[in-house]
Amino acid sequence: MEWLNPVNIVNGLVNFLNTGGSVLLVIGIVTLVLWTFILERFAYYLFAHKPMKVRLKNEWDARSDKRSWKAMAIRDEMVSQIKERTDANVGLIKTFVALLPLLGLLGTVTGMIQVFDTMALSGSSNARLMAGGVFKATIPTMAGMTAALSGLYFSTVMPRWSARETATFADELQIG
Amino acid sequence: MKFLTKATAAVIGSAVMLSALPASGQISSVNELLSKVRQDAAKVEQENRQREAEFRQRRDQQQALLAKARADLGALERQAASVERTFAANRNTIDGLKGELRAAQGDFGEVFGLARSKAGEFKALLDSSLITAEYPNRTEVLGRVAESEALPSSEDLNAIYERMLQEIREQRLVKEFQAPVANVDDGAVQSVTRVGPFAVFTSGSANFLGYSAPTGESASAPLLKQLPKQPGGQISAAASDVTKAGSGDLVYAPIDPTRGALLESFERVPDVKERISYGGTIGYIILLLLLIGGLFGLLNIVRLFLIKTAVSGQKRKAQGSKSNPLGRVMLAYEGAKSKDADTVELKLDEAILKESPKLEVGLNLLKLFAGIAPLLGLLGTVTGMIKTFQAMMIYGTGDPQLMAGGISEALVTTMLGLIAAIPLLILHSFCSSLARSVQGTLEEQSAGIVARHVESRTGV
Repeated sequence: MEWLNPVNIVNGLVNFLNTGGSVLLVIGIVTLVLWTFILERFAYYLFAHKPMKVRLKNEWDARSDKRSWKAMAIRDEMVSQIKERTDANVGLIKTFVALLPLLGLLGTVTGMIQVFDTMALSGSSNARLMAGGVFKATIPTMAGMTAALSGLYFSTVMPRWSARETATFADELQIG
Repeated sequence: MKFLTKATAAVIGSAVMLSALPASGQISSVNELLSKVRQDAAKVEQENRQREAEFRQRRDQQQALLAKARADLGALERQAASVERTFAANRNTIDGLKGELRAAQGDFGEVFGLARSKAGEFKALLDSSLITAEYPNRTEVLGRVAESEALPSSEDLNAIYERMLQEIREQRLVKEFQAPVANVDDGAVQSVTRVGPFAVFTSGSANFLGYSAPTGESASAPLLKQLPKQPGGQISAAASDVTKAGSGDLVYAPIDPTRGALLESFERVPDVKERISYGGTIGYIILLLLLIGGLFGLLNIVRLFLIKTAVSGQKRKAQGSKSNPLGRVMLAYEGAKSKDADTVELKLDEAILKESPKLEVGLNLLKLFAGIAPLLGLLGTVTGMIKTFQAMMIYGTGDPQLMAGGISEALVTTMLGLIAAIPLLILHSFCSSLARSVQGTLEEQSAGIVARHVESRTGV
């Protein structure tokens, strides 16, 4: 149970961030933002999606006129509202998933710069001194890849959820 | 000398003849001339005899002088021989006495030799330890023991191990002391803090100092000087913590296990500005791209955000206004509402089509910038590698320093390309999602919004 001690957890995290350098911190923040958006999507589907659907459907069912171009326009607007709400933030999630490997690459480059700095200072004979730079190169790459993979599934599946919800809602609004 | 005598004789002879010539004028008869000649001859002979006598006398004198000098030489030679004998005898005596001394010293001779060599080694060790900055005079006695020919006194011998114990004790202390610092306040005495023999910094501003061992010629020069480039970040923060900590507090302290070499190497680590300058022209072009793209993207976000709030405000108002896209679409409906349904729809579509391009202004440019930045980085990488290979072609692979310029350009431009591309991508993503949301409202919802307002007005 030693690893559950909060002091150990914080120390371990600080050590990890120190070995990975500042790029790792940026990757951590971006991952946090990415997952906030993903969880926001879940919260929307769990709590806000159904009430909104019900409200719009009731409004449509209450109408007497369901045939004129005005009725069609209002129906389109309702479907579009659902589409707008289910599509919100999906673009940003996609962008962040695409960005994370790029940030990892940035970490690789800054780490390599540090390796070459070390070589310029102490020659290429001391592999132990270069290890710090190699850590800074490899850890953010790995972290960027892992974080991107963690969000990749949702970035592909969420547009599909949105399209499906929009289509089923459009079917629910009976014409005529 | 001989030549001078001859010349003198010739001059005298000619003078005699010259004085004889005018006399010949007064000579009246041959007899007189004869008697005069005889007289002169007798006179000359007498003079010659006199000179001969003088010469003889002088020769005798010189012989006497020569004899005396020879006698003196003999006496001195005898004296020299006797002194030489005494010298040899004395030397023998000294050798004998030295042998006696060595025998008397016995093993002590080795002990003192060892003490001397150890004192010398230990002096070099202490001189290179920065604790000497706190006790500048502590190695003096060691130097005296190491260099003197005389036997060291018992106090001197005790001083060696006392210094050793002092070094051991001081190495584990974090201590504040007063010492002059060369390049702060013209070498004024400062309060400085040291962490064992590993790091030393000023107590006031926690600036790291470099230590240099005392040299023979400038004994009074300050041993500490402020490092030109401070490490900064966590290291300097830790130093500042140490200076602020009270006794008994537990804080992280910065130590340099190489005793100064690491801290001094910070001078050669380039800062951000120098690092960017390694990127060369391409690096600056990328930064310019980031600046222009960033400003453009931020302005675009502000513009789209204002449009979006105006549109969502317009949704609730029945009366269209010219200041926002949705209002303009609603005004277009107002102008065509008396026509039939198909015409109204066409008018609305036309109005929406007019608004769409305005929303998308600049989005493609932003995307272009975000795409170009990493490509420029790649270009920089390639030019940097070309420089590296040129350096290898000219100078060979022996000296990595010559290749370093090209390699830094390659890496720095790649880094700058990514640094520029990432925020530009985020900006583009924000802009396009804002623009798409307003566009969606216009294309799919504007007709419905118009219809709702019409219905609520007519009360259907």
